[in-house]
Amino acid sequence: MTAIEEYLAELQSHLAVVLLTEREVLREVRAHLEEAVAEEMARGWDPAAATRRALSRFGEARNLAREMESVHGNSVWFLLSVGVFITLLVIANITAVRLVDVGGLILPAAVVIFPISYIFGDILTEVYGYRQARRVLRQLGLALSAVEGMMVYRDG
Amino acid sequence: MGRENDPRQGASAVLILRLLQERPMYGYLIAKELAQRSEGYFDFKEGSLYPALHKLEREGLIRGDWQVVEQGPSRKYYHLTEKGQRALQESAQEWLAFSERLARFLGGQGPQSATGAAGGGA
Repeated sequence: MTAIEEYLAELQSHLAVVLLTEREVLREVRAHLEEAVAEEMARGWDPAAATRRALSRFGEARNLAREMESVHGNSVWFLLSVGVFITLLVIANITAVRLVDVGGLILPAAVVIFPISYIFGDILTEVYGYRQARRVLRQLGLALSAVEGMMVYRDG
Repeated sequence: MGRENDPRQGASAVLILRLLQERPMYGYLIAKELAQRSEGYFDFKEGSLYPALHKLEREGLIRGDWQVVEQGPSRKYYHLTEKGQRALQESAQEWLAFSERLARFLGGQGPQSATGAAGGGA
């Protein structure tokens, strides 16, 4: 992996924005860095030194990601999708043991709710990307499941 | 970098708008022009230019379009919108007034001119 690819990967890993924006940002940064390297090489630097100089002119990936997020940061829609997704997931888990009568068919209530949570899970992965969706699942999902487990255990 | 409080950062928007008033430019070119025309005074970390550009684009003051060329990298050219044109005029006025007042204030810190400035302000 070249130093530029490494830089782009680091930038990407810190960037929590909509996927479309992420792609756009990376494309623009890549074009800039490639041009900067070409210019440094034209000044007589060897490729490695030219890349180093171009990257140092550009600044740290972490800082850039933070500044980008303050412009494109996750909107209220992201929070809303996460909220609805987690809520549906928790409700589906609680209602999994309740049976309902749907037109003569006896079903766990969760059968109705659980599929809807998939829609919101899809929105999260398609719009915000797997990396952010995974983060949501790990942090919020696990925490909520733990709390829910405690409450159900006490209940029972 | 310890440059978070650098007053130059705050001027980046008006500088970008002013450059784009002349002709559409892409990020790399803007960085070069800024550094060159200010004799290196406005030499921001080049990366920090992009958040500034994207913010202006979100506010509708500039618009960026990708131009794909057959040879070499494709570039995103930004141009000033009508709204940006108006914003530039206002912002330039404000910055000129600000820098003039600041210069007068800071220049008037000496003992004699301080009384003069106070008298003039009254």
